[in-house]
Amino acid sequence: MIELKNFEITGAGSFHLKADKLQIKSGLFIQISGNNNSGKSLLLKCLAGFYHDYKGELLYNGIPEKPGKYSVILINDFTAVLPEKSVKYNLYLPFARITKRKKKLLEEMLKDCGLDKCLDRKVKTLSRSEIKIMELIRAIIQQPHFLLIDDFDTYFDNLSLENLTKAFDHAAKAGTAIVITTRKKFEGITNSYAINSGEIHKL
Amino acid sequence: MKLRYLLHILIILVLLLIDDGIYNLRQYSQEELSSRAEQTYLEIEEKPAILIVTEEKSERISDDLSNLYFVNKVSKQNKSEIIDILSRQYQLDEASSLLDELNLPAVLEIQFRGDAFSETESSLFWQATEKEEGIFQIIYSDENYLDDWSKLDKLLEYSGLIENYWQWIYWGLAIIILLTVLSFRLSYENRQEKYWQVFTRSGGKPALSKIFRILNSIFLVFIPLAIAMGLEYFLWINHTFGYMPDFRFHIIRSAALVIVSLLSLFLIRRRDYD
Repeated sequence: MIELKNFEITGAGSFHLKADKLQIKSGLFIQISGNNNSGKSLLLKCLAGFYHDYKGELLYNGIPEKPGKYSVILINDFTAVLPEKSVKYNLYLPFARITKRKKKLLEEMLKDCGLDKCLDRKVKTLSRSEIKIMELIRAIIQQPHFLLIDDFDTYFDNLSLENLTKAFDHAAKAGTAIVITTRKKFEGITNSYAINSGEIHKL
Repeated sequence: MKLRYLLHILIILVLLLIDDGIYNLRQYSQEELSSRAEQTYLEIEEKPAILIVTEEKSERISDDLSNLYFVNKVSKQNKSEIIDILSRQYQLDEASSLLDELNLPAVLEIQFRGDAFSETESSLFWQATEKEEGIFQIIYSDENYLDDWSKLDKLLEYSGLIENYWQWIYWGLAIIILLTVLSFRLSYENRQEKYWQVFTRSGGKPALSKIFRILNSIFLVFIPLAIAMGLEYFLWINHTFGYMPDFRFHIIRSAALVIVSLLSLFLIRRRDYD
């Protein structure tokens, strides 16, 4: 579980983001919506452990420092792929070895999203959205503790959400907490938060 | 293994073999020069000076000359030995008693020390003999030694040249090897930076990238060093090299290169992930 207590970040620009209390429990799917420059991306970077310039407490299972065993994958505007390599190469990149079960699951998820035919194609030939779907599937297969997706609505639409249902179900079963940030609120997501006037409110 | 990494290993191997070649060439040429010089010293020692002196003064002259630092040995043939030689050579057995009554000179054979006898010593020898009384005749000429001295001068000149310059070349190349290792490591890892960045961001274990960086640093120098040492050892057991490889030197060199290779990790540009 990730917990924010009296959390406060001030960006280099004009924004200021506060969260008195926010808990992200395992297996949950959380949506945080907010306008541009409201601090959503920086919040995810804080949760991923890439940004430390904040006030208040950020606790991982009650511990202030992110323990090494805590796996957090952040999907944001950074393209975590090697464009000159094949889709297959990029999908298997973080795995020292992959079990047959995971491999099968991966193939199923790729099929749901129509990426199963692209395994041998170079990643640079894929669209930005396809790359993000690939990154997302690759992340879910690893069953991290937290999967953070920034600007979800930039890369994924409602159709993508439908195609990724199996993937998100698998993540929930595996106990992966998914936090997405969006500009507009996606309907049907129960755990939704919104950033209003620099504060995070539960909807 | 990437082609670039293999190429780096190959270049370091070639540089190490050149460096080892310089070391072994110096060792071989110095041994060869030293053996030729030894031969020339022997030739000088085999050309003694002969002094014909009075029997009475012979002991003192012999002692004086023996004390000269460039004299190896003074052999004296005294009256009885000369009578004996004359008697045997000319069948003068009956005349030996007659010869005994004659005041015959003694013969001193001066053998020089090859490694200490040069033109300067030749002059000193002349000066030493001029001071002595009782010398009838000196059978000695500088010209006998001129060829030897000139040969020795050349040998010493070559040996000096090799000794003066080999270290500069050898250590210069050693520094070039160190810098090459450093530059290869930096260039390789900076190229790999994007890969490891993507690897980590895609969920790969960050510790794995550190382990690979350390292993790459070690193998980059360990593989060529092992090949170079193995090759030297192989040549030695096949009698191509006359001497055993200096394993202590190889270990020290390996340690220096591995340390530099590992130190390069501190200089690798680290980029922020976001």
